[in-house]
Amino acid sequence: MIVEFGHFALWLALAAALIQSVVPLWGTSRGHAGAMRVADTAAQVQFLATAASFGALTYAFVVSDFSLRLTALNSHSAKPMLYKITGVWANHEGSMLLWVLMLALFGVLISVFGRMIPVVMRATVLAVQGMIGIGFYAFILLTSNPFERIANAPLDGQGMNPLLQDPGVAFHPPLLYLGYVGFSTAFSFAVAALITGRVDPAWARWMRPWVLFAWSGLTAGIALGSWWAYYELGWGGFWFWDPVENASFMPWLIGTALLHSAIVVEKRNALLKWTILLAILTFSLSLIGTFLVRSGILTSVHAFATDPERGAFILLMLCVYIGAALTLFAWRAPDLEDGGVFALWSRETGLLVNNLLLAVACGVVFVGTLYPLVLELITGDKISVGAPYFNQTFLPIFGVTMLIAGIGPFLSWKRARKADVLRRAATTAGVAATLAVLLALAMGLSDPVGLLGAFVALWLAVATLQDLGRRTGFPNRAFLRRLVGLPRSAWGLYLGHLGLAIAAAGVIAVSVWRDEAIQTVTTGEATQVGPYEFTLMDIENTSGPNYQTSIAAVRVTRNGELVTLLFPERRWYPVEQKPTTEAGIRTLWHGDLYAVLGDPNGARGFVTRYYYNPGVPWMWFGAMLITLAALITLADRRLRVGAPAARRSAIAQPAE
Amino acid sequence: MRTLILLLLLLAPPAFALDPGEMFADPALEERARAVGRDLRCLKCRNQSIFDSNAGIAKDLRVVVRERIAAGDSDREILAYVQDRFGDYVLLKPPVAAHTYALWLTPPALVLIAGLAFAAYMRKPRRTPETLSDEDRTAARALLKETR
Amino acid sequence: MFWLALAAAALLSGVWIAWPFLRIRSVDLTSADGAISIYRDQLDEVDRDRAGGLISDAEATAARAEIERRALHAARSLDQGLAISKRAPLTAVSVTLVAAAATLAGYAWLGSPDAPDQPLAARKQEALTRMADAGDLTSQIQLLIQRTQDNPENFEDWWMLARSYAAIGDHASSADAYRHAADLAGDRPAVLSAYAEAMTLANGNKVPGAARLIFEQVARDSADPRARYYVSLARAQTQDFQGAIEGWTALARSSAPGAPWMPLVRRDIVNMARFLEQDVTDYLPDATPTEIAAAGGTGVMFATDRIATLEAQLAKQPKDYKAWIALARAQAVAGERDAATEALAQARQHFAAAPFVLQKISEAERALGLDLVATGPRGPDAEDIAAAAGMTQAERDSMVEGMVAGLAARLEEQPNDPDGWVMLVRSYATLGQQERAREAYSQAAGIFDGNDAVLRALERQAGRMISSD
Repeated sequence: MIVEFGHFALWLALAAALIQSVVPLWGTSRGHAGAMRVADTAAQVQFLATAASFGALTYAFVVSDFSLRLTALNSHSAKPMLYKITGVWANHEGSMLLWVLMLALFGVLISVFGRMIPVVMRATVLAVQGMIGIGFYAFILLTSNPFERIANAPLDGQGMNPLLQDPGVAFHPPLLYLGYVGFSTAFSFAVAALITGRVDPAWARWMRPWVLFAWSGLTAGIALGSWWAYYELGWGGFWFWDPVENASFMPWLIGTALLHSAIVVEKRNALLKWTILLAILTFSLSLIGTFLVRSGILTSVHAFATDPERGAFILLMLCVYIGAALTLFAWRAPDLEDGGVFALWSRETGLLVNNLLLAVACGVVFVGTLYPLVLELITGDKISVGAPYFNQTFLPIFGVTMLIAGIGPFLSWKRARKADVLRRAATTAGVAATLAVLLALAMGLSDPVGLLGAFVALWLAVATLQDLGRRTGFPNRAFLRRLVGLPRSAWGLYLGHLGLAIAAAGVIAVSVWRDEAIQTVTTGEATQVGPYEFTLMDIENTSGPNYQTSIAAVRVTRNGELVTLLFPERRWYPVEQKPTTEAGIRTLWHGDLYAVLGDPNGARGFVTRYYYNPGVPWMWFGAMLITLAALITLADRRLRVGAPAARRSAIAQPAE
Repeated sequence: MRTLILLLLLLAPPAFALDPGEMFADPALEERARAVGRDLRCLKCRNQSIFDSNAGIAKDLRVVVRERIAAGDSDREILAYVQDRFGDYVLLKPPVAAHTYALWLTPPALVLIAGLAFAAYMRKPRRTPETLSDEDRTAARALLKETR
Repeated sequence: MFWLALAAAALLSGVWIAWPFLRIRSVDLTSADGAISIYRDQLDEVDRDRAGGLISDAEATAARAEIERRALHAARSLDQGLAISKRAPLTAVSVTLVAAAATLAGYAWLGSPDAPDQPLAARKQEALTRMADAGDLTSQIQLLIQRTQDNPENFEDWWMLARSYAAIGDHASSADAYRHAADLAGDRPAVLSAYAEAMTLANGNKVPGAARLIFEQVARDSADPRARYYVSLARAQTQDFQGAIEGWTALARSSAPGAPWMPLVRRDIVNMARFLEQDVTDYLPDATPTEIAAAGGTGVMFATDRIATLEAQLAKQPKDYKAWIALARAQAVAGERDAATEALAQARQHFAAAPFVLQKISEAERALGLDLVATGPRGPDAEDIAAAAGMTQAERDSMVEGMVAGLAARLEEQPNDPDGWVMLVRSYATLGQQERAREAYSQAAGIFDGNDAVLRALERQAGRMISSD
């Protein structure tokens, strides 16, 4: 009865969400403390119920209960345990359940860690969270019920797309959803601000940790998805400007803007309306992303659902949530008062310009993603919008954003000394240009676009280190002490920007300076790829837990010295009748050696593809640094939602 | 023949792409083929170019590109040739035409709008903050010192 | 009972949600002093920046003034009120009931409270029975093991178990099962000799001492041909060649010419005669010319014979991968390693489109030590299609037949593959081999009997193609 209890628990979660969205709001209008606190208890019950439901579904996958339609269609008894578990969310219904689990998790976290948030704000935020929940619980229960049973359970399931049977993609959705769904908190805070009319530095400080948390999850999720494409699809590509990728990238861009504009609200009480709008837009883009992926409007590896009923339901929810929030914004925003005044040359302006650029960049991605869909709907014309379009439109905008991100920290709040800033920026430009030229000479690089990109990445890195040096008084003796004493949020700034510079350098390097060789080889035959020599040593046929595989051993040497052995694989999954490619990858500090085993060709030959991908490890390292930066900032004392207890005034004491 | 292809499709796992046999020996020609191929979409893939895909159709298009290059076509002629047969959908970089003006004009328009909005925001006259009376200042300091 | 548990869970959750209404008194600050603490932090930061020389005195003073102004503004404009409420039992009860009722109603609407969990482990029996009925030996053995465990006094089960083990080549387990069967059968001669035979086979076809004693006893007490055969074999293995050939000869004389064991006995007599360099007709008066030649020839003769037979057979019917492997094996035994490699290469061409068979061929290649580089499983690709365009009709047909035969071979060993069966039926139907298509379809229907989901899919995807009949 565990499975049926899971179904029941999902209904319980819906009921809790209903109460969570009604009773607390009634409480705020009446000043009724008990009713407002129902937001907390309802959020707790909602989370426990959703967790129980998710647990029940996981149980069904683990014990291979094929009396559920979902397991029968998506699991198989011969699958390794890891993929039985990750199979829970590798399908439409299960992934939506994961979605609401995340939503309920954020709700309960707000109720637990948000004790310092005054009850009116907390109750309103949680009520909005509850409203979001209602829509999604209803969507799951009515159109995508994971607990649907079948009368005659088959003895085995139909398996799972082997492309998804991989640790990289297995943990990609939870991280991505952490981001997507985490932005619901920003949305709820924004809507609550509009409802209560309270927007001030405190509001920004309450909201910022949630945005940071969600944003770090989204960053890691996008990087993980990209990493998976890189080693699993077997072409060394990592980003295709595919609508599914763009769907996660758009909230990231606007979320990045939100992260920065919230700082302005907290420090300077400025850009209030803009920040609220960004918060609404960030989650709206998450919803649009969910719509794009879940409605089946796209057809690709990720788009599992193809049911028009679901599409219509999600589209309706999209319109209701986004429409209501924007209407509320149009109605209430004019009453909000912007506080801080700032000059043209100021940190605020820098952040505002970057915000605008990020918004424009996001707008470009948005148009590029939706234009083909809309065009096809209206005129029936089918067009593709791919990398060449985004390279021409998105990259220049993002490049300028990076340039400004470099010198932004040079600007002081309110009013900066223009001459100082320009002098420092000139130093940055000089150093970055010199380094770029040296790089070109040392490595014999000539591609102008690549060198320009390298200059931009160098600029950001140099500027970031330059500001860190100034802030710590480098090379004074006090430098180390000051470095250690820097607030965590400052570490977040420097690591985050440095991570972006490193990741950008990696992207540029692999896009412009990759070496590639494709050939038929027999064992013992060597191929030259850039400075490396790849030799196919041996091929062995064997079998894994639920697949057959051919594994090649490829020896890589440089100037006759052994660098490494690579073991690319070709797998065949008999249950699903599908092959997969597992690239053999060796990561060096400057790049990846990458080998792919293809089909046999001719008597004893095999098609092989060898690559030297410079900069790829930098991309992953940069992304890790950015994620880490967000988490470090999150640990800053001032952002800890619990805030110092000693400062609570006497009035607050009888509250507990 | 039709039966055969039907059967092959029925039984075939996706074929592996980019057979070395289809490559040009001349690196310059190969480089050109790659450059042109990067702008062509594998029709049944995610947003992948024909040089990033294992699908059969991607391979066929690669062969077409190489044939046209061997026949002496210019890059532009090759793209036009493929576009004639498969429509705009095959071009990863959409053509500039009546139905794509909006697509190509949006980015500059967005930049312009953002610039104008920024200028308007910065020019908006704002009242300078009133200075605090001594009395208020004392109150404020007391407030900020409280329970420190 | 289940409904009671659900109702209890729903009510409990309802009470949890409504708990704040049950507290005697709730007091909450509607606006915290959080804002002020932020300004304090900002003042700290200004001091720190000033101390670090990042801002000038004038800037620091201006910043402090602004922070003070904002703090004062915040302190004066923010509502410092309290929200207070008293216990409200009625509200609590209604919230609880609404939560519980909504939950139970929703679940009653879409739930399936009567459907029990069906974890696969609990359905093992069902799975085994179905597989066993479809002819899966391993499943049959599993079932028999269970039955012998439940009821160890049943001779039939032990007997069947022993035979099933023998059928999959696990002679040690088979011997063990025969021992139980022999105990239960009161040492019936046929059972005892089967037991001893299994011991022998488990011992790599060398008759162990214990088995020899059994065989000798059975041979004394009865005319069991198996025991008599093995007694002779045991003699041969203990260097008593003359005793062996005489024993076999006696067995051959007392058996009907068509007895199933006769080919084996005659073969051994022929081999032994050759070894002893004696005239085979002394022992087998009716020896055929082949046998006479064999008795005078060399051991390779057999391999050569087999090679010829297999080659003839394959010339007629090349789509038999087992025959190809047997041919290669025979050639390897005969020392013709190049020919064996060549045979496997030919087999690969015939089955180029059948990854499963390619794997079998590779396994054989490894087993025979012929592999320098094994070929991975491979399906047809665009290249094959292109190549096919240039083929003659005969070549094309051959290629297609190879693919289909490979699929059929795979399904023979791994029948639990609905998609595979669909493919097979469709392939036969497309090739116009309606007879085979129907056969495969009914075979698949038998295997998945009772599994409605698969049957429906089968009907939908393949049934239509054969219904024209």
